[in-house]
Amino acid sequence: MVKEKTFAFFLGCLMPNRYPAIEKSTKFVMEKLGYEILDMERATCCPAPGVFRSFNKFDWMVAAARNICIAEKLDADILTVCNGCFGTLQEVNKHLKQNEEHREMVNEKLKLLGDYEFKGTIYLRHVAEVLGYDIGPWGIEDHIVRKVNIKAAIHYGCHFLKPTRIREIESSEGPTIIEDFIEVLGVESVRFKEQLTCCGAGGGVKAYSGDASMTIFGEKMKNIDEVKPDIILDICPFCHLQFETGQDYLNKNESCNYDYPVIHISQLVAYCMGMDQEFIGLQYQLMGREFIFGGDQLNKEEEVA
Amino acid sequence: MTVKEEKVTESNNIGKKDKQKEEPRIGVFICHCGHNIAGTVDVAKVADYAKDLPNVVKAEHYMFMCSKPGVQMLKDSIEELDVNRTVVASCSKNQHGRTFAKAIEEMGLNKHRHQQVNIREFNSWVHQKEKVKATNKAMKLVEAGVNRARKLEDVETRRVPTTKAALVIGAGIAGLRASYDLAELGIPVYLVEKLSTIGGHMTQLNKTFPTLECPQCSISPLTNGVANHPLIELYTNAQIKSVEGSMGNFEVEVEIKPRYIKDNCTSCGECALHCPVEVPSEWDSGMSMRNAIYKAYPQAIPATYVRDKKSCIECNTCINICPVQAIDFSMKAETKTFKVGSIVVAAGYDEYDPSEIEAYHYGQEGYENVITQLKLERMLAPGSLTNSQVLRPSDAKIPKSIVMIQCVGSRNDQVGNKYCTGVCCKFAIKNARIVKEMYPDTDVTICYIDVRTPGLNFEELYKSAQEVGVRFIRGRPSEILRDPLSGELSVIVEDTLSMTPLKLKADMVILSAAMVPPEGIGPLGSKLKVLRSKEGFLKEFHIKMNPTLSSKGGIFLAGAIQGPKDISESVAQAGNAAAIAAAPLVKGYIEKEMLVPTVDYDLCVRCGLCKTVCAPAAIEINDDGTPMVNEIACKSCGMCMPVCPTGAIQLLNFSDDQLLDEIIAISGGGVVCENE
Amino acid sequence: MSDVKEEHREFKTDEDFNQEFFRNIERKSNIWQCIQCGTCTASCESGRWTALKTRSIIRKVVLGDLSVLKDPDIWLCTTCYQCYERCPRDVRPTDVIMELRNYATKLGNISPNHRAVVGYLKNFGHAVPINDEIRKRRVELGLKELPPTAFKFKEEGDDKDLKNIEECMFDLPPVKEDKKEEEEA
Repeated sequence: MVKEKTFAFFLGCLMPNRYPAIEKSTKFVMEKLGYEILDMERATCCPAPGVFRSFNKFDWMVAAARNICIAEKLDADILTVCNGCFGTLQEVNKHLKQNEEHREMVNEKLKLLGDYEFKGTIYLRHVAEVLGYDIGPWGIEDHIVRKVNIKAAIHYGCHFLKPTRIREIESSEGPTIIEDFIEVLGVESVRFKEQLTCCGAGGGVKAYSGDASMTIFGEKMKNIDEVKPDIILDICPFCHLQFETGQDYLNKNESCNYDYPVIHISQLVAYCMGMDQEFIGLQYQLMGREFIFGGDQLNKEEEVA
Repeated sequence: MTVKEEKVTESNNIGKKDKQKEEPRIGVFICHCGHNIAGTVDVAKVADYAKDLPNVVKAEHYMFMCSKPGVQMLKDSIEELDVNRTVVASCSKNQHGRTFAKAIEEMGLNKHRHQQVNIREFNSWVHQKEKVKATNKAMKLVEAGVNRARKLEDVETRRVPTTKAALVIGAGIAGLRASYDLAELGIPVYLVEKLSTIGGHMTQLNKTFPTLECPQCSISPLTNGVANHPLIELYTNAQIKSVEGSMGNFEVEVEIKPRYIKDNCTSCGECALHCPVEVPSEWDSGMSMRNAIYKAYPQAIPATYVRDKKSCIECNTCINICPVQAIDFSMKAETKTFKVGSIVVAAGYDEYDPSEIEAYHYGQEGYENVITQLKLERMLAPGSLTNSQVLRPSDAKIPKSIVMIQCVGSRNDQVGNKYCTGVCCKFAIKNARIVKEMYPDTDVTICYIDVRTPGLNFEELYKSAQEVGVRFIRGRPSEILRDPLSGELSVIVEDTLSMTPLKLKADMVILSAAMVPPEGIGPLGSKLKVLRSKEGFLKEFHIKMNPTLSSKGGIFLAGAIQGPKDISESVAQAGNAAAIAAAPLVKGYIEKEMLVPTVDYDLCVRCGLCKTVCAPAAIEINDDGTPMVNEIACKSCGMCMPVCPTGAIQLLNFSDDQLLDEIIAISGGGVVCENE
Repeated sequence: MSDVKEEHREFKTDEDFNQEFFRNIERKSNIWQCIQCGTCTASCESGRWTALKTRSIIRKVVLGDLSVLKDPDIWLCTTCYQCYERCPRDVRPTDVIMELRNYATKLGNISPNHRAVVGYLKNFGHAVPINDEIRKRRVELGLKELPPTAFKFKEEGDDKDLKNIEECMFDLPPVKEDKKEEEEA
């Protein structure tokens, strides 16, 4: 039986090693919402689905199972803030629970990596669906101290919702989970052309051919630029990296002039729940350094939990 | 052919076992069939073997048993040796079983006392290189046949008089055709239609392929013919409530919803003109509005108006204005019971609702210019809201570019239906050509996976569309995109033939949606107790040989209710359905062999399993839990036997011990053959 | 479409294909039922800008054209799963491409950048290892300098996790000889 209101926090690679502000924001948000956040010691890369699954599907499953085992030992569901990690861990977790033959083969190999055995006792959760469904717009309202007044271009990414038959979260053709949630924070979602396309980083493409990756991304930026949002909102550190470094690249190589701040949902929610802007970490990011969140302080009669 | 007119006894063949007190005297005849059998099987040896089997009084072999002298051998043995059961080992039961059965019947024996043993298709033809083994097998098969013949009982043929009337469900093109053909054969027809008007989907179309005729003109003689035929009683706004009985004699209860307007309505239209309520017109596929009191379309039959009680606000304007006082809000629903001999189901189809395919965004806000082919037909048709112009629903402008998408809801394993509707390529090409000829400056594109236009005249139709400038792109569009700022739609598709991904600007997108089973077929099907196919249509008895017979005797299928098809096919099927539905009614009786199950009530544990497997729904459960067999509806399939846990229900001449006798002989006497 | 006369080319024959090779590819895929409708290519975000034509890749697999294993285009798929969601024959093209990549990797057709990523996992436990700048940043934000992953333990002297991973996982075939020459050239 997993512990209630407790998460084993899976960090991945990009968040702790490139965007630690997202880590800080997530911890802040979840702890304020009353969750206990446990460290997953000795965790590694999930491993990244785009690269490692392409090289060797079986080893990818074994490495993912190893990470899951760490959480199983903590008796807690895994919380992740990254579409890539979610893609790997949720799919492998579900698959090994259902496929006995593969589970046995994986457990055989796990023995070579240490005292690990996949049991299939936990679930994988993405912070966007914990916030969007578990807490929901009404749940978060009680906890926010500030409401902003900004327009956001929302980027869902790919592996949060797809494949729909495996994730079982929401329809991938017309999702509204994030729009509905952030409305109460004072964020208006602006629709742009071809909103649901990939950022171009995944599938190992960013490493394989930065050029191809940037071409795909460039088109997306053009569409976002048309609607002139205040921020770009994402739910994945890899998309986050792509939007950050991508805008920089396009400015340098394609004579573009982009400066949209790239915000992960954890950062946005943390701000509305009272975290100081300096911890949001915009000063460390490439884009939108001058951006001020602003917003109105809410008068709360009761003490925020 | 003389028929034994057995008096109809009420017994279900229970307790007929005492008839078997007579000693079986079996005649066995092995056929050479020229070289077909004798070339592989030593027929003389087999005949010799048969001679020594118990109860065999005669065993012979002959060149051609089906010839006149061959058949005479059978007859002679009956006359001279009092043979009372015959076995012929030759070809299949389907081939000549009847020949020999008829022969013994002419000698006064019940024709079911003949046992046909197949040593040709089942033996000599498939073991041509193994003569010794084939001969041994023939001996086993003949012994099995003799064992079977020993316990064969008489099967009576019952003649049941039929009710000379027919019920047709659905007054679309198939129902109309079937009704008319039945009536012309002198059979009174009750035609029941759930809508307030007849003609079905055909009347909604603008033009029909391949000749581009006006469907209202084509169908008009038939609709008028049906409406005026002295033998056809038409009931609109009516639905089936219950169906009892079996083939030849059904009792059907029909509920007729009130029209609220009496028959003296002159169809002047004053009521609708002054009615303040407007709702989308179902018949016009939502492309125009109708009033709460309305006639579906100008040429509707019946011409009497009808009131939609749900939308009516009861302001009584119509009542006051009607010049002949035809409106009566107090009218009530009526129930009528019809006694008929045959039922023809012609309930038609519905157009698939593409909202399920989310990538195409049908029905969503901002995508009003994505419509279906049926809606396009309603726009183009004479007297339409748009005056037969093709206009964008969003701003009533003429589109500069139209993209048609094929296979929407068809040929899809993930969403919609797996089957190919088979009609959409034809109607899309028809419509594309019409539209392109009307608006030469508009780009008309059809995106397809395959172009399926079989039949004479249709390749010509395809070519004519190409000639006139319709663009054909082989590629299935992945999505319809909308620019949130301008509202413009684009269709994303790969032109696979040139390997080019395309983004086609589309002022209007027309989805060629599938044909699906009509709403309400589930409850209707269970009332009729007929089987459905896995796609939801009504299942035919045999896909090749009996496409218009349902799984239940006496109930026939006509038109799209049996599977998606076009008007020509529906009409052809309706004619056939009418003919076979009429046969027992014109003859005046149904002859049925009573090859039916009997029940041993001492063994019956009242589990009810026999009822659950009976496909023609010929078994009902009595109040005390025991089964009651409807011998007319029974199709002698024998499914009730294997599911019975105690063997209480046994099919006449196919009982467990009779079959076991056969198996024992084939397996070599008490030893079960191992699988190799 | 050029002015230059085309070289004389022979027909391809059955000898050029090996249908059985891919018989067991991605067992859950319905690849043999592909009707080449093009929904996948039309859905492909990468394919619009790059040489990746998903439908053609699937065609090559169905025909048994082994050149697809050397095709660099299979590495341009971003695994966005859009084709997977929409395919009317449920071919699951994304999964097929991933498995093709597995085959290709076994043959040594893996890019140097990707090899490097495998190296990072084995050395640091991360595809994207931490650096000094980020270590400082973490402290500034009030976090621990190193996240509690396998790398931290290695730094503290306990590297058995990474050693095991290095030994048992993601064995890659050696760099091809001609490739080495290319790189040295």
